[in-house]
Amino acid sequence: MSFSAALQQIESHDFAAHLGVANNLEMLYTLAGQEQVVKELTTSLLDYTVAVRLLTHVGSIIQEQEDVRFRNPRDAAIAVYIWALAQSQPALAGLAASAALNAPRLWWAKRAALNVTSGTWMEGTAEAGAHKLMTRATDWKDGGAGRKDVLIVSDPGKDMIRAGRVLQSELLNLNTNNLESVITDADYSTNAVSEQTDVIRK
Amino acid sequence: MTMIIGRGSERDRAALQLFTTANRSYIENERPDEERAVEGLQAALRFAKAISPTAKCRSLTAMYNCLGLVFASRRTMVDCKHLDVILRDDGFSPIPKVQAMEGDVVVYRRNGISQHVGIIYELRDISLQHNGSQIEFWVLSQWGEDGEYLHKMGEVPTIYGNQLEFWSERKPIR
Repeated sequence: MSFSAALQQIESHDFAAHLGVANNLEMLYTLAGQEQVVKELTTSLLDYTVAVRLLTHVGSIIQEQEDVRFRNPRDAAIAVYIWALAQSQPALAGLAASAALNAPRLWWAKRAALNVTSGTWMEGTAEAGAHKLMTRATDWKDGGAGRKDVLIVSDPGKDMIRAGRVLQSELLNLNTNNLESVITDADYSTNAVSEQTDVIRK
Repeated sequence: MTMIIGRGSERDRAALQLFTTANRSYIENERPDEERAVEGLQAALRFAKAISPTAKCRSLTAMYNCLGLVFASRRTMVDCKHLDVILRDDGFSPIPKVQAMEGDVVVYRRNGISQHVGIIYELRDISLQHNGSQIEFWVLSQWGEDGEYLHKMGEVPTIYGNQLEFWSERKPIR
C-alpha cells in the first residue's frame, strides 16, 4: 500500500468509526494497533524522510478549515499519526503534538498530544528535551513554522524563561542560529487552570 | 498559545462538577466542545450495525461516552478507569447474573480491566425459541463516541471484552 493510500484509509470516516468505540486513549491505541494499515505506517516511519512527510501532512490537515461547527473529521487519524510517530520518531511526534495542542476542534488528537508531551518530554530536564526536539527548517515546512527551526522545551516555567536559561541552550551546543521561537508547554497562569504560553522571538 | 492543564480535573471549568453519591470522590470528566460531523456519525452507525444487526440506535451523538450515559446523565465523558471508584462510592455491589434485573448495570472487562458499561433495560424471555427457559439480556449503552444503542448484551465491539459483571445499587424493599 502506498503512503498516500494508507493516509487516505486512516483518514476515512469508516476508520474513525472503528476507532470511535474507544472509551479512552488506551483503547483507541489498541484498536489502531490492530489495523494492518497502521502497522505498515508505523514500520514505514522508521525512515526519517517518511516520518517528516507525515509530520508535514499533519501540519497541513490540522490547519484545514472544514465545517467549524463540528469536530475535525480527521481527529482520530491525527491521534494515530502522533502515536505512530512517537514510536520511532519521538522528536517529530513532539512537533506534531505541539501543533495538535494548538489546533481547535480536536478531541482524540489533543489527548494523544498530551500523552506524548507528558510521557516523553517530561522525562528529562528541559535542556535534554530541547536536544531531542530540535528540528531543521527544511524538514518542517507547514504548520505555521515554515522556514524556522523550532525548539520545544518540555517544562521550563516562567522563571526559567525570564532568567534566560532557555537561551543558554547555545552553551549546550544546540544550533540556535536560526531559532525564531521557543514554544513551552507548561507555563502556569495564576489560577492554575488556563495556561498562557510565552513565545519568545529572537 | 493557550493550553488547559489539569483537563477534566476539579479545577477545569469546562468539566462538570461531578461527585460520587457518597460525595467522597470527584469524578474527572471532560465535555467535548463539538459534535462529530454527520458523515462521521453515519459511518459510526454503519459500523455499529455491522457488529450488532439487531441493535437499535437510540441517539447518534459523540458528546458523551458510556460512563457519561450511566453516571452523568449523558452530559460528559468519563474515562473507564474511574469506573471501579464510582461503583464503590455509589453503593453498587456485584450480583450474580440470575439476580440481575432491569436498571442494573453490566460492566464489560478485558483482561480484568473495565472497558465499557451499560444499563440493562430488558430481560427478554426467549424460551419459546429454545427448549427450556432462556432469558436474553438487552442493554442500553453508549459505544464510545459512536452513538447510543439498545443492543443484545453480547453484541458489542470485541475491544470491550467478554468478561461480564453485573452490579446493582438496589435497596431492599422493606
